[in-house]
Amino acid sequence: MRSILGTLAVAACLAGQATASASTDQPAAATVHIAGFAFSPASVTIRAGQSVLFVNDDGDAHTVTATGKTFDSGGLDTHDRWQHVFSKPGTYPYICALHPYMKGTIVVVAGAATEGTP
Amino acid sequence: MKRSGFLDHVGWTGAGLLFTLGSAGTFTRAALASGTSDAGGLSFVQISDSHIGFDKPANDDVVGSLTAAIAAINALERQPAFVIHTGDVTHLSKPAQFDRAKQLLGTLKAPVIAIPGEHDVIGDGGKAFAASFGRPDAANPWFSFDQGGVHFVALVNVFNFETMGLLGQDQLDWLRRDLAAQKVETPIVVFGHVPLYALYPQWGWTTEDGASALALLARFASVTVLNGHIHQVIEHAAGNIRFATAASTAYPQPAPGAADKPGPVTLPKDQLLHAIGFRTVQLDGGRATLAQHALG
Repeated sequence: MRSILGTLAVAACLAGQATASASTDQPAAATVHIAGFAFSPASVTIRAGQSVLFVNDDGDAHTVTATGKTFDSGGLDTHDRWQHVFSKPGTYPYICALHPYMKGTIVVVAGAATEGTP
Repeated sequence: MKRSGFLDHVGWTGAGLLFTLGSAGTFTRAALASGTSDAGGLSFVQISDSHIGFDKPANDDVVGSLTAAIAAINALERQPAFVIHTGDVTHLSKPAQFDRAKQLLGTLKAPVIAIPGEHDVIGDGGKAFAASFGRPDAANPWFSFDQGGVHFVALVNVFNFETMGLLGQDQLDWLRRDLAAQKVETPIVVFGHVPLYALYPQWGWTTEDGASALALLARFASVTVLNGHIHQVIEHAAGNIRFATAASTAYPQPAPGAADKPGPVTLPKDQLLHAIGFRTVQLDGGRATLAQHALG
């Protein structure tokens, strides 16, 4: 348990830094669909500096909110999209703030992305 | 009218609710005498889950639905002492949604009290909700007041976005102190957004530490707990505590377990109007009479 909490604390710190560069024009390295009150896929692994696109395909509103609140999409209505850059390696657990039993994780590994790099 | 300007006009005393939304959208002081008439007792109205900003097929005119509910409340022969909105006033906590909701609720003749639902606190922990509907002098978002011999308690169980519903230790400590001053025979009415008991935890229709609050309420002779959140009327009793959830003014949700997931249910228009509406509550001493008023 101690190691899990430690990991979360580190992830929270890293996520705070990642939030500073939240906007991007680059294509997303991964897409998470929100459907049937679930994030799919529930776990996504990307490289540092890449972004994830979240798309709400559900009939109800949801959010993408980091536990610890280091990133937060705000309310995503049906068909709304939100893209977020993760610049630092780490493990980023997140939930839907409207339905907290919906859980997902973004794993960001070290190393510059090769795809899309000039 | 800028939203920040409203707070200048809000009044409050420990004796009871004293603010209302005037026809011009400004808060004005309201008399406490309404709702107590020759008929005896005290009456109030509960509305819930208006989701202003929602525009999907389950109800593409939530403003029209709330407007119809307000017109029906304003037409009640005996005006309620107040109207309590038990949360999810807005759909996505957006400024324009708060403004529209405040404007609409301001057309009620009776004073308005509102507590937040999780849809009202997205992204800001409830700041925008407090700016629109909160008490300017409040130390906490939860509060109590006494009116017509009844002790009313308004709880907030949507502030912990990782666990919902949750009251939290600060609020439970406050509730313990608040209730300690009340007599056993005093009727108690409790408001909150998410059901206080485990109505259907699989869909999050529960308050994780609700049992702690209910334990504090157990000693009273008459307790009525009124919640929103689940967009349908479900009644339940435990000891002297009577529970009732409210219909939405916007759209219904499935009965517990009747669908794979919760969420808006799309019905034909005439059936929708039967599934949404408001509730009147008549209190005569310890006896509470609940009546459902559908919009169709």
